[in-house]
Amino acid sequence: MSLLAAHFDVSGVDFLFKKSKKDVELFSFPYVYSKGIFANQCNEKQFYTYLVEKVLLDRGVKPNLCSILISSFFESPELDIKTKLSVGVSSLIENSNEMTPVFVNNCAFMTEGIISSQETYWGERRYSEGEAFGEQDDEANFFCYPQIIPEDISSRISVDSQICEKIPEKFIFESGRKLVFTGGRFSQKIPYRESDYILILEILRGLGIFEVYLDKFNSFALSKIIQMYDRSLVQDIWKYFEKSGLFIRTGGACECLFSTGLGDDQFIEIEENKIFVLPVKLENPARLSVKSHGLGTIDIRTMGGEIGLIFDTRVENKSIYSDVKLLNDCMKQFEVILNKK
Amino acid sequence: MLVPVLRRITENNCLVERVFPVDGEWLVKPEDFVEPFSPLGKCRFSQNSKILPGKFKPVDFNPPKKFYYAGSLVGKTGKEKFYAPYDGNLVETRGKGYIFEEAERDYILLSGVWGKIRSLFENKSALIESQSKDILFSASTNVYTSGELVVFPNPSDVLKTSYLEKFIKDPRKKIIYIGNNVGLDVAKRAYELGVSAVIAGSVHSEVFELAQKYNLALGVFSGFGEIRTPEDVYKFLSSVSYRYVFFEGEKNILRVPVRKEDLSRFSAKSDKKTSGKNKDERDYPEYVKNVESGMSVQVLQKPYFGWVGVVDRVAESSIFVKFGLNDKSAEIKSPNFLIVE
Repeated sequence: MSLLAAHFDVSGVDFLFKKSKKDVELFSFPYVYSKGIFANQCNEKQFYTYLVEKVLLDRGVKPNLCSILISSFFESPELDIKTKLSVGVSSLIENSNEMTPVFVNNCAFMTEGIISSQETYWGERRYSEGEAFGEQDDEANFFCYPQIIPEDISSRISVDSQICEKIPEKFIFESGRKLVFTGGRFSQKIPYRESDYILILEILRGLGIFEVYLDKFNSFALSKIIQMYDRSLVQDIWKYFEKSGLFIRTGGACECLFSTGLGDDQFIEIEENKIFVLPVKLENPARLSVKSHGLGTIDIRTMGGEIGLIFDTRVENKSIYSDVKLLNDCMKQFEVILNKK
Repeated sequence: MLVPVLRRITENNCLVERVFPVDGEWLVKPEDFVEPFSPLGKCRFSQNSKILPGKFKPVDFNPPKKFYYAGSLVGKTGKEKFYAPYDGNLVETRGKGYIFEEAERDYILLSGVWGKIRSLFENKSALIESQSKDILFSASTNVYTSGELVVFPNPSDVLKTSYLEKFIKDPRKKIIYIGNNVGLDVAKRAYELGVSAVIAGSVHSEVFELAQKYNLALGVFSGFGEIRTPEDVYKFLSSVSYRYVFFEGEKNILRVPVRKEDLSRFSAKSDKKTSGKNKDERDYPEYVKNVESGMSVQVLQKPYFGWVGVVDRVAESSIFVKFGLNDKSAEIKSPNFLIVE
């Protein structure tokens, strides 16, 4: 029997369709139901039922002959089709021992033991004195058309910084954990991918070394729900994630020695309040020694990742978004690496 | 590339509830056919009142109330004389203030729609089976109201207030299409004049916030900013000017009653269940379609936000749209557009 896992987020719907053991398709529908588009045609239940049916019929599968699993941010939408399993993202996060999932979409941040939801545009009056008239129009339009991906980086940064504002100040991640950044924010096909990594840097709290993975297809939720349904159906969940690299938060100036064992050792000194990206993607593990006042001395082995080693020496928890110079510097560094790929 | 289909004007069979302001008596019975000006029933109540200022002193008044003919002297506030604006009673309130209430007079509850009386609920409300064309608002305040539709010919900003103040005999209880855009001053003036609902192509978010604050019915067809009203919507509104219409803010629609013969053969909504039918057997339109060259699309990407154009070419993750200005087409990234039908 074929299987369809669907994840309903606030800005799009992602699917994993498994026709047979080897025939797996990941795809997304980058829109969601919104009253501003569909209120005069259908309700949410009718729309999503239609969408799931359409997706299956387009693949030559009758809905009643397919196991349908759905996950969603908060409450799953009602469907007029029989589903085998319906789970919220928070349950999927709680059932992830091998990693720490960090779920982010345009209005919420969620990880183990924490849900931080951003108030919507309508929830509070955001207009303040001195603000230009109409400045909130873009944000209001996101509410009408939640799928919109702004073409300009400033709008993207504005949304991202609002997400970060809602993370409790005292919240920290445990050093040494494998962090998987997932959710609608990372699965949206935004034109400025470098902003993904800046957002990760902003979200990361606490000193330490973090192995970061990026989920660009919401495959965490899709794979996890399939595993919950039948563990044998997903053998290797990691293959769906991009291994971005090591994010090293030192809490001040640091020195590090990077040694591949091939005689090209690099000694790097990074002054405080800087972000420094070292592109490293290796076949075999290399040795990395990091020494800083806040972190002490740490020796680890790493193969880097798609981005490499990212050093963050900010002393205070000052936002990158509020420091234009630092933001531009970060953007450039990530842009160079992403353009080389 | 699957894309939602936006249908701004849909046709529906609907139930319309008409309610007496106070208990009344029916002039119709179930199964009767009614037209917009058919009286459904009548009741008697005071239809106007005026709260008088705290310093008001009545002339020749016997508590608790006294009748005055229209034009007769009722009292004074300082040196300012107050004459009865209509036949009515001066009533002393519990707090020793005064209200001038219009004398009770007959109120005829009109049908407002073409249809058949389905049921009458006590002496309070009638349910009418009718049909309508529903115009979709991209955003609207959660207010329900009804009234006569007045359509301004998209006046310039300077003239909008004059139109409101001088060109409508009585703006109260009117649902007014003001133009492509409504500014803060015009919206405030409409509220002061007691306009039932304000509709427009677009508003700035601050105007929407004002409407929410004052519980003013406000609906916009295109979104936030300065976006023109879609041509098809404006043409339709003009064709039904002075008709009694229903502003259903919670449903994001303006419901315009129509004759049965005004409906096209195909109705957008159906009460029938959506599941268990083959693709070809469905009796409702497709909510999503594969985008193809020649289709009309609404663009949600700057600088063309809200514009409607024709798809020239479809690429892997974007489309090229022509706006009829010249031969050049603009690239619009997925998902920043909707198919328009």
